[in-house]
Amino acid sequence: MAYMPNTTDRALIAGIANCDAQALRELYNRHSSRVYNTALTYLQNETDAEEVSQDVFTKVWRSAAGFKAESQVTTWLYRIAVNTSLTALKKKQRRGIFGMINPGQDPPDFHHPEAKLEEREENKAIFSAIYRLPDRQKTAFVLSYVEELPRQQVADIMGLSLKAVEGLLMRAKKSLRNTIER
Amino acid sequence: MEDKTYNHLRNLPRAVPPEGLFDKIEAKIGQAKVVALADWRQFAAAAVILAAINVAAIVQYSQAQPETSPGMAAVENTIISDYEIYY
Repeated sequence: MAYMPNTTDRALIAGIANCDAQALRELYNRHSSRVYNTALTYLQNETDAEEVSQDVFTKVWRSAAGFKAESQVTTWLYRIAVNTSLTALKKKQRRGIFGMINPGQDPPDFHHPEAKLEEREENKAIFSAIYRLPDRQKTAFVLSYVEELPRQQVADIMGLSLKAVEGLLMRAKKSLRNTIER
Repeated sequence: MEDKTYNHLRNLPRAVPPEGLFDKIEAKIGQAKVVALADWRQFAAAAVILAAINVAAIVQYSQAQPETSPGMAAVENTIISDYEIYY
Protein backbone atom coordinates (compact mmCIF):
# COMPACT_ATOMS: atom_id res chain seq x y z
CA MET A 1 0.00 0.00 0.00
CA ALA A 2 1.33 3.48 -0.90
CA TYR A 3 1.35 6.10 1.83
CA MET A 4 0.77 9.80 1.21
CA PRO A 5 2.67 12.53 3.05
CA ASN A 6 -0.52 13.42 4.90
CA THR A 7 -0.93 9.89 6.26
CA THR A 8 -0.70 10.15 10.03
CA ASP A 9 2.03 8.40 12.01
CA ARG A 10 -0.68 6.42 13.79
CA ALA A 11 -1.95 5.09 10.47
CA LEU A 12 1.60 4.04 9.65
CA ILE A 13 1.90 2.21 12.97
CA ALA A 14 -1.40 0.46 12.20
CA GLY A 15 0.05 -0.54 8.82
CA ILE A 16 3.23 -1.83 10.46
CA ALA A 17 1.12 -3.84 12.91
CA ASN A 18 -0.37 -5.52 9.82
CA CYS A 19 3.17 -6.36 8.59
CA ASP A 20 3.15 -3.68 5.85
CA ALA A 21 6.84 -3.04 5.03
CA GLN A 22 5.87 0.05 3.01
CA ALA A 23 4.46 1.64 6.18
CA LEU A 24 7.73 0.92 7.98
CA ARG A 25 9.66 2.54 5.12
CA GLU A 26 7.51 5.69 5.35
CA LEU A 27 7.93 5.84 9.15
CA TYR A 28 11.67 5.40 8.65
CA ASN A 29 11.78 8.24 6.10
CA ARG A 30 10.01 10.53 8.56
CA HIS A 31 11.82 9.66 11.78
CA SER A 32 15.16 7.95 11.07
CA SER A 33 17.02 11.22 11.56
CA ARG A 34 15.63 11.63 15.09
CA VAL A 35 16.46 8.03 16.00
CA TYR A 36 19.95 8.08 14.45
CA ASN A 37 20.92 11.44 16.00
CA THR A 38 19.67 10.42 19.44
CA ALA A 39 21.68 7.18 19.27
CA LEU A 40 24.72 9.09 17.97
CA THR A 41 24.66 11.51 20.91
CA TYR A 42 24.48 8.66 23.42
CA LEU A 43 27.01 6.29 21.85
CA GLN A 44 29.24 8.84 20.09
CA ASN A 45 30.18 6.32 17.44
CA GLU A 46 28.62 6.21 13.97
CA THR A 47 28.70 2.40 13.61
CA ASP A 48 27.08 1.91 17.03
CA ALA A 49 24.43 4.55 16.21
CA GLU A 50 23.65 2.69 12.99
CA GLU A 51 23.25 -0.59 14.88
CA VAL A 52 21.00 1.03 17.49
CA SER A 53 18.85 2.56 14.72
CA GLN A 54 18.46 -0.90 13.19
CA ASP A 55 17.41 -2.30 16.57
CA VAL A 56 14.93 0.54 17.15
CA PHE A 57 13.10 0.02 13.85
CA THR A 58 13.17 -3.77 14.31
CA LYS A 59 11.54 -3.26 17.72
CA VAL A 60 8.97 -0.93 16.13
CA TRP A 61 8.17 -3.66 13.57
CA ARG A 62 7.76 -6.29 16.29
CA SER A 63 5.81 -4.23 18.80
CA ALA A 64 3.66 -1.93 16.62
CA ALA A 65 0.58 -3.98 17.54
CA GLY A 66 1.14 -3.06 21.19
CA PHE A 67 1.40 0.70 20.55
CA LYS A 68 -0.92 2.55 22.91
CA ALA A 69 -2.84 5.25 21.10
CA GLU A 70 -2.77 7.64 24.08
CA SER A 71 0.85 8.68 23.43
CA GLN A 72 2.34 10.37 20.35
CA VAL A 73 4.22 8.16 17.91
CA THR A 74 7.34 10.35 18.24
CA THR A 75 7.19 10.02 22.04
CA TRP A 76 7.02 6.24 21.69
CA LEU A 77 9.85 6.20 19.14
CA TYR A 78 12.08 8.39 21.32
CA ARG A 79 11.37 6.15 24.30
CA ILE A 80 12.52 3.10 22.34
CA ALA A 81 15.55 4.99 20.96
CA VAL A 82 16.63 6.19 24.43
CA ASN A 83 16.22 2.78 26.07
CA THR A 84 17.99 0.96 23.23
CA SER A 85 20.85 3.50 23.27
CA LEU A 86 21.29 3.22 27.05
CA THR A 87 21.33 -0.58 26.84
CA ALA A 88 23.89 -0.50 24.01
CA LEU A 89 26.00 2.00 25.96
CA LYS A 90 26.00 -0.19 29.08
CA LYS A 91 26.96 -3.22 27.00
CA LYS A 92 29.78 -1.26 25.39
CA GLN A 93 31.07 -0.02 28.74
CA ARG A 94 30.96 -3.54 30.20
CA ARG A 95 32.83 -4.88 27.18
CA GLY A 96 35.35 -2.10 27.68
CA ILE A 97 35.98 -3.05 31.29
CA PHE A 98 36.45 -6.78 30.54
CA GLY A 99 38.43 -6.20 27.38
CA MET A 100 40.54 -3.50 29.09
CA ILE A 101 40.20 -1.41 25.93
CA ASN A 102 38.33 1.47 27.46
CA PRO A 103 38.19 0.91 31.22
CA GLY A 104 35.55 2.77 33.20
CA GLN A 105 33.43 5.37 31.49
CA ASP A 106 35.94 7.33 29.43
CA PRO A 107 34.23 9.09 26.54
CA PRO A 108 35.27 8.01 23.04
CA ASP A 109 37.33 10.28 20.81
CA PHE A 110 34.27 11.63 19.02
CA HIS A 111 33.70 14.54 16.66
CA HIS A 112 30.16 15.05 15.45
CA PRO A 113 30.18 14.35 11.67
CA GLU A 114 28.52 17.71 10.94
CA ALA A 115 30.75 19.85 13.20
CA LYS A 116 32.68 22.61 11.43
CA LEU A 117 36.43 22.16 11.33
CA GLU A 118 37.08 25.28 13.44
CA GLU A 119 34.60 24.08 16.09
CA ARG A 120 35.88 20.54 16.36
CA GLU A 121 37.63 20.95 19.74
CA GLU A 122 34.67 22.75 21.30
CA ASN A 123 32.38 20.08 19.84
CA LYS A 124 34.50 17.31 21.27
CA ALA A 125 34.53 18.91 24.74
CA ILE A 126 30.74 19.33 24.78
CA PHE A 127 29.99 15.77 23.62
CA SER A 128 32.56 14.37 25.99
CA ALA A 129 30.87 16.22 28.89
CA ILE A 130 27.45 14.91 27.78
CA TYR A 131 28.86 11.36 27.69
CA ARG A 132 29.95 11.63 31.33
CA LEU A 133 26.49 12.65 32.62
CA PRO A 134 24.49 10.12 34.66
CA ASP A 135 21.82 8.36 32.54
CA ARG A 136 18.73 10.33 33.59
CA GLN A 137 20.45 13.71 33.44
CA LYS A 138 21.87 12.76 30.06
CA THR A 139 18.45 11.78 28.71
CA ALA A 140 16.81 14.98 29.95
CA PHE A 141 19.63 17.06 28.45
CA VAL A 142 19.87 15.25 25.10
CA LEU A 143 16.12 15.38 24.51
CA SER A 144 15.84 19.02 25.59
CA TYR A 145 18.97 20.59 24.12
CA VAL A 146 20.13 18.31 21.32
CA GLU A 147 16.76 17.11 20.05
CA GLU A 148 15.12 20.38 21.17
CA LEU A 149 11.88 18.75 22.32
CA PRO A 150 9.35 20.59 24.48
CA ARG A 151 9.80 19.91 28.20
CA GLN A 152 6.40 18.23 28.48
CA GLN A 153 7.32 15.73 25.76
CA VAL A 154 10.65 15.05 27.50
CA ALA A 155 8.68 14.36 30.68
CA ASP A 156 6.32 12.01 28.77
CA ILE A 157 9.22 10.13 27.18
CA MET A 158 10.96 9.70 30.52
CA GLY A 159 7.74 8.94 32.41
CA LEU A 160 8.48 11.75 34.88
CA SER A 161 6.79 14.94 36.03
CA LEU A 162 7.70 18.27 34.49
CA LYS A 163 9.23 19.32 37.80
CA ALA A 164 11.44 16.22 37.92
CA VAL A 165 12.71 16.94 34.40
CA GLU A 166 13.51 20.54 35.34
CA GLY A 167 15.46 19.24 38.35
CA LEU A 168 17.43 16.81 36.18
CA LEU A 169 18.20 19.57 33.68
CA MET A 170 19.47 21.87 36.41
CA ARG A 171 21.84 19.17 37.67
CA ALA A 172 22.90 18.26 34.15
CA LYS A 173 23.76 21.88 33.32
CA LYS A 174 25.77 22.19 36.54
CA SER A 175 27.71 18.98 35.78
CA LEU A 176 28.35 20.11 32.19
CA ARG A 177 29.59 23.52 33.34
CA ASN A 178 31.99 21.90 35.80
CA THR A 179 33.31 19.37 33.27
CA ILE A 180 33.77 21.84 30.42
CA GLU A 181 35.41 24.51 32.60
CA ARG A 182 37.87 21.98 34.08
CA MET B 1 30.01 29.46 28.67
CA GLU B 2 26.50 28.02 28.88
CA ASP B 3 25.14 30.18 26.06
CA LYS B 4 28.07 29.19 23.89
CA THR B 5 27.40 25.49 24.57
CA TYR B 6 23.69 25.77 23.80
CA ASN B 7 24.33 27.85 20.68
CA HIS B 8 26.81 25.28 19.48
CA LEU B 9 24.26 22.48 19.94
CA ARG B 10 21.45 24.55 18.42
CA ASN B 11 23.48 25.40 15.33
CA LEU B 12 24.90 21.93 14.84
CA PRO B 13 23.28 20.35 11.75
CA ARG B 14 21.73 16.96 12.23
CA ALA B 15 23.80 13.96 11.16
CA VAL B 16 22.43 12.08 8.18
CA PRO B 17 21.72 8.36 8.69
CA PRO B 18 23.99 6.25 6.46
CA GLU B 19 22.72 5.16 3.08
CA GLY B 20 21.43 1.62 2.98
CA LEU B 21 20.37 1.67 6.63
CA PHE B 22 16.79 0.84 5.77
CA ASP B 23 17.92 -2.14 3.64
CA LYS B 24 19.80 -3.46 6.67
CA ILE B 25 16.67 -3.04 8.82
CA GLU B 26 14.59 -4.94 6.26
CA ALA B 27 17.22 -7.68 6.16
CA LYS B 28 17.24 -7.87 9.96
CA ILE B 29 13.46 -8.19 10.07
CA GLY B 30 13.58 -10.96 7.43
CA GLN B 31 16.40 -12.71 9.29
CA ALA B 32 14.40 -12.57 12.54
CA LYS B 33 11.54 -14.39 10.81
CA VAL B 34 13.87 -17.04 9.39
CA VAL B 35 15.52 -17.60 12.77
CA ALA B 36 12.13 -17.92 14.43
CA LEU B 37 11.06 -20.52 11.86
CA ALA B 38 14.35 -22.40 12.21
CA ASP B 39 13.87 -22.39 15.99
CA TRP B 40 10.42 -23.95 15.64
CA ARG B 41 11.76 -26.65 13.36
CA GLN B 42 14.58 -27.38 15.78
CA PHE B 43 12.14 -27.60 18.69
CA ALA B 44 9.88 -29.94 16.71
CA ALA B 45 12.83 -32.13 15.66
CA ALA B 46 14.13 -32.27 19.25
CA ALA B 47 10.67 -33.25 20.54
CA VAL B 48 10.31 -36.04 17.93
CA ILE B 49 13.79 -37.41 18.74
CA LEU B 50 13.05 -37.31 22.48
CA ALA B 51 9.72 -39.10 21.99
CA ALA B 52 11.38 -41.75 19.76
CA ILE B 53 14.09 -42.40 22.36
CA ASN B 54 11.45 -42.81 25.08
CA VAL B 55 9.37 -45.19 22.96
CA ALA B 56 12.48 -47.24 22.07
CA ALA B 57 13.46 -47.41 25.75
CA ILE B 58 9.99 -48.59 26.80
CA VAL B 59 9.86 -51.22 24.02
CA GLN B 60 13.34 -52.48 24.87
CA TYR B 61 12.50 -52.62 28.57
CA SER B 62 9.27 -54.56 28.05
CA GLN B 63 11.00 -57.02 25.71
CA ALA B 64 13.90 -57.52 28.10
CA GLN B 65 11.70 -58.20 31.16
CA PRO B 66 10.76 -61.89 30.48
CA GLU B 67 14.37 -62.79 29.67
CA THR B 68 15.75 -61.29 32.86
CA SER B 69 13.33 -62.98 35.24
CA PRO B 70 14.25 -66.62 34.46
CA GLY B 71 17.91 -65.62 34.49
CA MET B 72 17.56 -64.22 37.97
CA ALA B 73 15.59 -67.26 39.03
CA ALA B 74 18.35 -69.49 37.71
CA VAL B 75 20.96 -67.62 39.72
CA GLU B 76 18.84 -67.84 42.83
CA ASN B 77 18.38 -71.59 42.27
CA THR B 78 22.12 -72.05 41.92
CA ILE B 79 22.72 -70.27 45.20
CA ILE B 80 20.07 -72.36 46.92
CA SER B 81 21.47 -75.57 45.44
CA ASP B 82 24.98 -74.48 46.53
CA TYR B 83 23.70 -74.05 50.07
CA GLU B 84 22.20 -77.52 49.89
CA ILE B 85 25.67 -79.04 49.59
CA TYR B 86 26.27 -78.32 53.28
CA TYR B 87 23.17 -80.16 54.46
